[in-house]
Amino acid sequence: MIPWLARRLLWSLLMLVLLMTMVFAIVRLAPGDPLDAGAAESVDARERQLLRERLGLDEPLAGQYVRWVSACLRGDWGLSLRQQRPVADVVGEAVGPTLLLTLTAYLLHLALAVLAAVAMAAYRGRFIDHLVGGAGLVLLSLPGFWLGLMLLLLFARQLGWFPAGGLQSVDAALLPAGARLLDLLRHLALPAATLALGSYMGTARYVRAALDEAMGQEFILAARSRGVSERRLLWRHALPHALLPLITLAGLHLPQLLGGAVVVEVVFGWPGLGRVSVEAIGARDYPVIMATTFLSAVLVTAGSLLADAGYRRADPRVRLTGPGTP
Amino acid sequence: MNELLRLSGLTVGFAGAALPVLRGLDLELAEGEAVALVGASGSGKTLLARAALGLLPPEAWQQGQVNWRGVEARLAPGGWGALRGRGLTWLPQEPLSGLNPLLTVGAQVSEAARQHQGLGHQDALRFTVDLLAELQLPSPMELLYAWPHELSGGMRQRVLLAAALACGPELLIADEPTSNLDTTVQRDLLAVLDRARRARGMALLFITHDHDLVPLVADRCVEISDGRLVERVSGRHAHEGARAPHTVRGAAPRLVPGNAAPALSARALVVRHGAAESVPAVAGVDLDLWPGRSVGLVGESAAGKSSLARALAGHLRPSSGVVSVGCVAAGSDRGAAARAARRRVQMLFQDAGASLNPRQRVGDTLIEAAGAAHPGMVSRLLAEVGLDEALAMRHPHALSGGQRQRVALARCLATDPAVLIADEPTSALDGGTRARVLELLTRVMVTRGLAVLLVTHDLDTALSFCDELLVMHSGLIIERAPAASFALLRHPHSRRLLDCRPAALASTSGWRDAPAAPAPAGGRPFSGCPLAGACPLQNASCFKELPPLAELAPGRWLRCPPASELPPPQFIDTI
Ligand code: SF4
Repeated sequence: MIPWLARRLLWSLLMLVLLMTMVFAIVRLAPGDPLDAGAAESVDARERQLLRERLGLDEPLAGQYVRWVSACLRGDWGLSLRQQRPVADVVGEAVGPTLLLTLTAYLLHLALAVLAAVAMAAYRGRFIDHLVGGAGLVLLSLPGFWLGLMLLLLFARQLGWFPAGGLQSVDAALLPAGARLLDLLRHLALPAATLALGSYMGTARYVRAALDEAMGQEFILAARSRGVSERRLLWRHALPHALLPLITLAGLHLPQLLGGAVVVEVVFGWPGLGRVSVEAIGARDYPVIMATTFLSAVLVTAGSLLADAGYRRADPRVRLTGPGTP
Repeated sequence: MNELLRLSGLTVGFAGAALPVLRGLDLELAEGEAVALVGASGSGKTLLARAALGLLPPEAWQQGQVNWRGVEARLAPGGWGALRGRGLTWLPQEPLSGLNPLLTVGAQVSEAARQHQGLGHQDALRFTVDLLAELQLPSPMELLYAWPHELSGGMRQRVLLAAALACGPELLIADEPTSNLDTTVQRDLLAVLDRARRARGMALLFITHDHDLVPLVADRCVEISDGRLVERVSGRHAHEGARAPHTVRGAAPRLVPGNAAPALSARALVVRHGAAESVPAVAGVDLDLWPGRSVGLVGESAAGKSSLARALAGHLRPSSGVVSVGCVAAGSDRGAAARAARRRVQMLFQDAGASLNPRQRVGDTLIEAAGAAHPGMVSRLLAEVGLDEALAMRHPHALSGGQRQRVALARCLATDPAVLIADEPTSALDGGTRARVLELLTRVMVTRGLAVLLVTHDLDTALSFCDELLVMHSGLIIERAPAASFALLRHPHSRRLLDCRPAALASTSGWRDAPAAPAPAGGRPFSGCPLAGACPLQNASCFKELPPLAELAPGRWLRCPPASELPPPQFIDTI
């Protein structure tokens, strides 16, 4: 287990370094520079040159790269060009909300997927199977922002059950702790539901296929011959076989959800990484763009690392004797 | 006695198939009765079991009735599902796929106890422990939390038996439960099954392809053929005359010609599957194969037979030692001579179907193996293995099991080999087909002067086919003797293998009460005799050093000093 983990960590690190380099290259090679977007009109050529020097934009690329990496490693991500605050602060504030949103959405996504899959498998080939499958496919094919807007219109505007956006109410700081949590959850509900509803069907179809395969195995036949009920066969005997690979799939789903979160955060005004990076891109706020991209990469890598490690813990066969365990 | 299960006019077939597999079959089973159902593979034995359980595969159709205690099963109160478990249940053939790999032993066995005995969680676990102990599983408490993959095949099969018994069934349908087990393990499983059945007064339908097992488990025997049942004589006597001892070899074993050179020889061969410190699968074997002679390599499944066979055939790289074919070292060299030498050693596998390319016609397979197409070569090869020329145009799936094995043999012969290594070539075949394939092998061996190594777990096959027997255990040759008679085998382990053969058990009255075999000491550091600790003849020196393979008499070698000193008759009744 340990040597495996060490190898895996090394790979992840390598990936991140590669990614940092690519981010740097892409951002710097794109046409235009921050001065074009931000202060452009109001600054004359000489001042512009001074600014360039201050930001280090006139150095050769290699030099900029080395400076950037070493500063990043020291925790100094530079100043946000737009907000004139340390990037670490801007991004740091956004990480929490994004994690909260993505993880909540993922839990919801899993619950929906498993319920839908079990329902489809239990009523295989019958009406409920087609109904659940069809509804899921419709949801899957809707664009995320549209689904978000519809939920917003229906539940926030028409019915008024949930707030229309933001992380918390304006007066949240004045509320007692319990009410503050409730307030947060109410704000969380719509964005998380948008993310989960738009994505659960992919997983559900996967789980359903795995369930069908497991239900065809001989151990199911043997358990059935011992009089075990169909419901128990499905939930207790077959479902673990379908859930196990999901742990690994989680490593793939996390990036998807993070990607989806960008749109949802913008629609619901959720102050997360996605919204921060969209704004930063609009303003060519390079330090922020690089930081958010890098942070997303770290999240994705960490997610898939956790997923792999989790799989090895969860499967008794891999845990004890599995291939690849040195 | 009250009738329990009755199948009347049972017809089961598959959509699209021309003929149904079971054709109007009738079977009655009374309370507490043990019936053996014998049939060749593909005769529909398993289909019958699944029809009785109401668990036919979805693509099968069924006519006729299945009655349980006089009521048609599908109309019983609560339906068929309510009968399964308490009424009748099933013991599958394959112990690994029959157990859920993601549930612990305790979870799978106690589930049935909770459901059918109405026990609470704790009581069900206690019940499970007792049951596992009754079936002579070691340390049942720890076993509760063991995963199926941690157990040996024999233990898995007992766990499955425990799960079935936990339902408290009136009828157990055992579907070839021992066909993948070693004979020693098979004996123990049959013994616990028989004892558990008698203690509960449970009825048993024992499905098997092996006539020899019938007297061990059943009072009555029915045979399935052509989709119908043929009643046989009472099980306990069915054995006599059913299997005439018959030697494929013909006369006495062929002797090693005085002046010839061996076709293949191995010296100090060691094979490891893991790291350099791991316990070797083959732990230093010397062996010679002579032209026109066959050597039988027998032993249990973990003895290292297959590893040895693969190393000899060049499919596995030995960790140390040499294999030479006709005086060319073939094992480790890469040169053209070594490659040519390896080509002269061909291997015939148990599963001929899997070793043939499914998309290639038989004729093309043979031409590819020969490396060049000579006119008439394909038909000559097919004729040599007793197949019609017309089969050259067929694909493997259009052949029967016996035909496939013959094609696989023809493919080996296409390279004009000097040595043929056959790894359990007949164990997937039924009695008659098996004998014919062995006869063919003998004929080919004699006419071509082939040196043959037959790897098998079936001592009877080895005795009837081979000139010499090698017995393996823990990667070592423990005994070597002419295959003239089993009486020549003396090693305690060889005797145990002999005594556990179903045919031998049938004539031993107290076989059920003999103690279960002690678990073999696995993975311990290799010093001393591998059997020390589980051997009736052991003495102090057995634990200290590995006894040498010593020559007792010309052609008879034994790796057991205590056994060499005793006269043979004394071993007849030891385990
Ligand atoms: S050497 Fe000793 S332990 Fe080994 S088989 Fe002979 S008597 Fe038994």
